[in-house]
Amino acid sequence: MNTTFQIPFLRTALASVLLLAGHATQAHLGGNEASVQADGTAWQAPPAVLRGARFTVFTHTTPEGVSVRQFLSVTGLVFAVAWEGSVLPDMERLLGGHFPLYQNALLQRKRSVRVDTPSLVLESGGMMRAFVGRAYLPNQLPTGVAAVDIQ
Amino acid sequence: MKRLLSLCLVATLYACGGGGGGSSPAVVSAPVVPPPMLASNVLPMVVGAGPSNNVNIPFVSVRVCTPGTSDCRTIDNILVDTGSTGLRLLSSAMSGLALPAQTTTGSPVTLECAQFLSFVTWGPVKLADIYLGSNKAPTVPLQLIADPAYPVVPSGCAAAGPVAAGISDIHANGILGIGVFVNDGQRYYNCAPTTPQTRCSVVLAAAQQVQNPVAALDTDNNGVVLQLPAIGATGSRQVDGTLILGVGTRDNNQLGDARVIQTDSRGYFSTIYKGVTLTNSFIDSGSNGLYFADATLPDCPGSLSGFYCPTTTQNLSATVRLRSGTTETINFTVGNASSLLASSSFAYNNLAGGLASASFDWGLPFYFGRRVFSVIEGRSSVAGVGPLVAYTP
Repeated sequence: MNTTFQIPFLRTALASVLLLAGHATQAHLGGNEASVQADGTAWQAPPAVLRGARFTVFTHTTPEGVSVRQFLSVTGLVFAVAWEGSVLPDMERLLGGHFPLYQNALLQRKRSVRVDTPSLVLESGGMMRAFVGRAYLPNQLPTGVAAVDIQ
Repeated sequence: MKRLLSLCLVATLYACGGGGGGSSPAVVSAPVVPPPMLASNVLPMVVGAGPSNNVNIPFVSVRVCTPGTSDCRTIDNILVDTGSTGLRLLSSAMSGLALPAQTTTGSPVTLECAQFLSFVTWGPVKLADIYLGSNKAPTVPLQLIADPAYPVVPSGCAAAGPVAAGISDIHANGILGIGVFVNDGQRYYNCAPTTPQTRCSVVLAAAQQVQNPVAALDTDNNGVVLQLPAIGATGSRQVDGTLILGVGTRDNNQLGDARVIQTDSRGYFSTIYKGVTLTNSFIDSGSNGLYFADATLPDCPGSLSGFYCPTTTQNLSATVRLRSGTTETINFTVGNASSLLASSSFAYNNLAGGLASASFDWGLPFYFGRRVFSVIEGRSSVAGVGPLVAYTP
């Protein structure tokens, strides 16, 4: 469900933003193969690896059944992530330093959770038990890779 | 007029499905008619101002009781949501009704973080006898939202979105999630956190999770039908419809000429809009608009950004693939949300907005003038085995 009118967010929401601002997490979007492996340990979800000519896809499946994919360029950069599951993945860890942009998008209270900036594109959608989304670094996509490739 | 309409809905539920609502001269001339008796599987459902003057929210009343007792409360203004699973009630709406906790092995409490894409609900899981109409769902796990007994929200929950705390967040006294799933598949905890960093996550068996109360009913438990009359292009202050329990279980919930769409295991199906196949599409009574991406439709200015504001009303269409293998076109209109919402109406069939992902969200505007069915996963019906949805053209 989702209702869309603009409404002032509550103190609880503000408090959570302030709390989280104190967490310095490593960027996993923008990370490298080592951070992918560290994510696998943190999420109890060591990744399955599919190496391709243009990029490598690491797929984590968490114990609660959330699928997270990390896209690693041939130069060793995680330039995109995608997710699907009955709940959202650990967005704070997954987005790293980009997490505040996502939080800001949530506070817009629109049906569509979207970030569209020169440094980050994020699309999060779906409904309870069927969330789907992706995020990528538009100015760091490898040559020959388009947004449509990030699924 | 509203009263006549509700009579129509009760007396001839099936015949009302195509819309045209309440304009029959024969009905108008009827003098004094005793109040209609609702079938036991029928709940009056109203789209109106509700407790927070929001738009396009369908509301019902639900009766909850301490299990096995007659200690009950009837809670009104509950949002009917086919896009989620389970009953969630604001703690502040419980009028002192005490419900026992859902216990898990080794713990007297179970708490839940339930995600709704752009916000979360946090609170304990309790057990209640839930009455929908006069049908009973015995000893069902539900969630209390914002129970002051559990004020600390785990950081992993708060990171998933703003925490809903009251009517101003959910625009209702609770959410009745009656989609195509039996259990809600969300995050659970078996201790009350004392700090946001407290870690007590637990994986709950499906039957212990918050449940779709329809699936737990004694009868009429394979799905639901939502029925709303047609409305005009300028909207309506209040629309009286019905929530009917069961699909094909009684005369009042037969499929008729409804078109059947088999969804995938996630509840999704494909919608084709302007040549683009949107594989993660769904029908959702809890979405207050039709949401889809169309770069040719201008976004509204100011606080209504996120809705579409075309200069003239747009007549559009999309196609869906039916289980029969044929495709069918669905026509709809998109009005200017700024103009529409400036009126005194609370129900609109032409409110729409943008969506980022590969989805077409057929929200409440789709329901006006239709009967919209959903069949729960693994349950049999005249329309087939769920998960599936169906709609009258």
